[in-house]
Amino acid sequence: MIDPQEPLEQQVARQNKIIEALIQRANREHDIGGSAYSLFQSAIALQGEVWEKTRDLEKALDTLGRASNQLKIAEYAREQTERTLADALDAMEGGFALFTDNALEICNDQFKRMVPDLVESVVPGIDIDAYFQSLSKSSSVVSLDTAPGRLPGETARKPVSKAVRPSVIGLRNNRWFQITLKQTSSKKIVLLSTEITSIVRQNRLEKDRLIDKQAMFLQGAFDHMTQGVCTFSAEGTLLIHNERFRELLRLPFSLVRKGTSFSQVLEFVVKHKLLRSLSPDEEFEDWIAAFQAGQGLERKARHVSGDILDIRVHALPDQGYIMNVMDITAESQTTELLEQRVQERTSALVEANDRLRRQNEEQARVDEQLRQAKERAEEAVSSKTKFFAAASHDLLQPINAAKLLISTLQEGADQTPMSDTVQRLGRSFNSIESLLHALLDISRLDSTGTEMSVGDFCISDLLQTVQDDYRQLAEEKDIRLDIVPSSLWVRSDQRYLLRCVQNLVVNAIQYTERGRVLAGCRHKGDHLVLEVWDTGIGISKKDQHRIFSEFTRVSDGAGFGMGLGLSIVDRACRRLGHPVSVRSKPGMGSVFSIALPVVERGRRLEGPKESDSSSGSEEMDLIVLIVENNPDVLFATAKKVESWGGSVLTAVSTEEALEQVREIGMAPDIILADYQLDGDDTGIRTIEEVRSLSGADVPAIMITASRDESLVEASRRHRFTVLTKPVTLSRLRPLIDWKTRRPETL
Amino acid sequence: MNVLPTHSTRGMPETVKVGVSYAVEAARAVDEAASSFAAHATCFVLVFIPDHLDPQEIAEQTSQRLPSTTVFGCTTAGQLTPKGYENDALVMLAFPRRHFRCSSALISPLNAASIERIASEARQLASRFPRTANWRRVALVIADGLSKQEDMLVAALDAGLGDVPVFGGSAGHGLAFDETFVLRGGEIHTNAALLLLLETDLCFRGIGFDHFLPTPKQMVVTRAVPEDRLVLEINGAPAAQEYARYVGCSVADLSPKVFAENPVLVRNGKAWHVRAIQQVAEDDGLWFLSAIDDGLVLTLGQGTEILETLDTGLDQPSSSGREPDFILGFDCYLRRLEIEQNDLVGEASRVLRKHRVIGFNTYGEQHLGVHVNQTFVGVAFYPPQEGGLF
Repeated sequence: MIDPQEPLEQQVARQNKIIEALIQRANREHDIGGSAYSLFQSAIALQGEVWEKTRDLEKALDTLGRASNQLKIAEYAREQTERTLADALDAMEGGFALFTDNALEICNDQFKRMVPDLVESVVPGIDIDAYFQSLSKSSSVVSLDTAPGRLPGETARKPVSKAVRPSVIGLRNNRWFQITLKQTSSKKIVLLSTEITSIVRQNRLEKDRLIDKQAMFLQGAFDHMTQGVCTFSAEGTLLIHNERFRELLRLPFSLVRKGTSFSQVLEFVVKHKLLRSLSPDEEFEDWIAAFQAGQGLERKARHVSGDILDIRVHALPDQGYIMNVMDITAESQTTELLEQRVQERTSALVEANDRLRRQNEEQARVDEQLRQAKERAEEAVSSKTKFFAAASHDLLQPINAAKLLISTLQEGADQTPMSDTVQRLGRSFNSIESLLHALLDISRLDSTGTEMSVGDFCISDLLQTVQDDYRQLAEEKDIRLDIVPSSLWVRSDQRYLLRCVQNLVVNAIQYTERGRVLAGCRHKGDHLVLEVWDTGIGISKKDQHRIFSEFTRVSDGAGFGMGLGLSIVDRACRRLGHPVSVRSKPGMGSVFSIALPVVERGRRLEGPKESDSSSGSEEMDLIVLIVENNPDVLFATAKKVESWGGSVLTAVSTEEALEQVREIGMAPDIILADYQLDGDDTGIRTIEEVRSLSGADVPAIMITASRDESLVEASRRHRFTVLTKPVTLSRLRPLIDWKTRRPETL
Repeated sequence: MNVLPTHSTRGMPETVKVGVSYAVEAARAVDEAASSFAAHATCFVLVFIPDHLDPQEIAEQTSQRLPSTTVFGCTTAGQLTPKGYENDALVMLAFPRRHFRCSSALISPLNAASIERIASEARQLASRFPRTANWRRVALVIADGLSKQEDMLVAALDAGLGDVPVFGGSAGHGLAFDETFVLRGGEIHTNAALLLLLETDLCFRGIGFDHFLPTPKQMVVTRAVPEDRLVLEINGAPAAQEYARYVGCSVADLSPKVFAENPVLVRNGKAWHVRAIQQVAEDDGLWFLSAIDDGLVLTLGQGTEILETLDTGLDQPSSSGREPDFILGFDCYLRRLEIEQNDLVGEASRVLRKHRVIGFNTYGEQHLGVHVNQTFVGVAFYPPQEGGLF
């Protein structure tokens, strides 16, 4: 207890202190405590006792409370049950008795009063067997039936054994009770009595009535039958027959009577040879043999009077048999007649059938010839269309080159005497070009394979383009051209719609000597009506029908062009499903309108802005890679781009293009590529390979005369812009600027 | 703030309403905590004040916020909330009129009061408080935790109240041991004790347990100042040195955590009670938190499974098998220290939640007339009896 490391004297001193403290404490233990610790000690002693007592008390109280509560619940439940039971028993319709250990414990009034002379003896405690015994001896009881399911009264017999427990009791006053006995547990038996008097009475009445009624019913039914019917008992005596039976067989009254035997009837028939079998090899006598062998009988026979009879004999459930006789003379004759007619008809049909088959073969031959003719015609149209497309396409290539060259030439010839000639040259090339475009459009609209690429777009861009393109033309003719802007969105093919509007506006300008041309949109319900007004020469009513066909012009020599414009409008709009209409008055002017569906506003795609075109005058500081397999076009394009100030790399194929790029060791700023190069080389391949070689996402413009729709899809996938040949320089320059500038503006 | 998570398996008590706020500002804290119960249906409110809030302000705010409600309370060394152990929660426990009636007395000053006077005050309180048929009585006592008078106080109350059981806890103030307060009717008091006499139609049961067993190591107090609960010498040597030697550390290392893990026990018959050491006094003396005396034999205690004893101790189904609706708990701060030291706060909180313990951490517990240390004392209240068949 004491730190053993302390010096010994110290340890002794401490031990002394401990001893002293303990002794003092031991002495103080007997003082009446006022100190805090002694209070604590006495409190603890007290607490222990109190706690123990409290706990015992709590437990005792708890047990007591629970027990008395349960007792009360049980008592209440018992009373409740008894009351409910008594109520329930009295409310029952039938009698009820409960026997415990074969002694009656409880029963209701209905049970007690069931048998009038036993009311006194039915008291609690009575033995169940004693009860049944007294039941069997009771003067009120007429019958006791132990067999379940059988109606009382049929087997009324008095029980002899005392153990008989009947299921049905018949009483003197003609009342009937059903007794049900149920063993609910080993010691408890429940008896239930149900009054069935009304059911029993009803049953009896019903049965008697049925028997009488059936006999009458049967005879009535027989009498009304058109067949002859006769039934025989198992012993072969006649039971019921109808008058018709006798009539058909021509039997005498005396023979057909109740009680006559079947053999008597047979004898009569055989003796007078009344019946003769229809099949020659079977004698009537054979029937009798067959019938007597116990087989049913179904035969047709000819009566001596000439009637044909159908005779059937069938067994009945009670071993007797029934005989049916039917007159089928008329039916037999009708059948014969019908068979003959069918034969005649069949031969006629066969003949008709042959005729038809021959006609059919002829028809098929004609069809085949027609089909071949149609194929030939289609082929001719198709090849014409293809030829047109190919020719136009091939023509566009050199025109493109020529236009580019003329453009270069124009700049060189500016301010010289040649200037005017060059401008005229340019204009005539423009005319050729637009004519070719028109032809190309018509051939495309005629060829069935052309798909319209219908989409949603804002009409405003289209109107703006028209305004830009024809402002100058209108100014040249001193006509005011007004385009009313609109920002509605429509669903159509943008390219064809533009072409249609262009054609309408060009026409309007051409056929107007002075005044104005106005184009604009009206919003009518879910449609937008695009209208082009002019103050031109107008169209007479009879001309209005034919203006839409090819090569039709209103006043010969008054304008130029070949009259293809309206034809294209008509074809394109018909394919797009846009109704086209015209209103006009000669000398006043005309209104052409196209109705097209309006759609919800979509997301507007960014495009080159108008302001970009102003940059065209600036020097172009770009490396431009031009890939084109037509040397003339390549040369012309290169010249043009150089004139703008660009550094040009030229190539005729993808390989050459890659070589050029490799040589300068850096990516070009933009690629202008022709789509169709030599062999299977394409501009797409060039763009892809140049991009992968340089590792840069070089912007690209695809210049092509092809109007293949798949290019649009490819342009999205490979991120390039498509320009169709011949290239309009006013478009190409801003497009190049826009495509190369775009990353900086982002 | 007083919307509490419901991950406790049993939810909130049905009879009392608990309001909790973590606001650092007194007015807001009172407002938040008080918004969880209806003042008009409340008999009285117990408020447990965390040490970051000024008790004076809380007293003022409660009397403003709840002008017509009786509010009692005290400063604490930690709170037992519906989430378990917490240190920064202002807890309000509202006892409904439907199940509780209450009468109170303030015993102040505490150090000058005699046993006789306290006993007669308690007797008077009990006799003036009219009885309601079939309702039961229980007394709660909350004393200044640094008054050193709890032994005398509970002995006197026990004597004065006769068969009414007394439970309670001593107010604390974190681990500061500077000043503790009890709150009554909008005023705070130090050197005072609060006596609440409750009457309730709910069944209740007292709880008290600790988790220590004696070791063979014993020592004798050779010099002490019993009235100050100060032990100067143990085994003839300076008390702190000798205790440190028994524990196996230096005097400088002695701290509340060491005291929590190595309590000294005194024996009374078959029972052992903890004499908790508060702190080291000058000249290597030891301040205790309960009565000591010269010549006392102290036995070094050894902890047992604290969580298990907590769970078993709180598991108090009624005789008909019902779980308590809630337990009003007075839990010694030394137990809390030990739990914190062993990193068991989460687990312990889970057990407290499971048994729906609401209360505070004390500087000492009062259990049926005995002042004890390092125990858990509580009163389990059971849900109201369902209206029986009769």
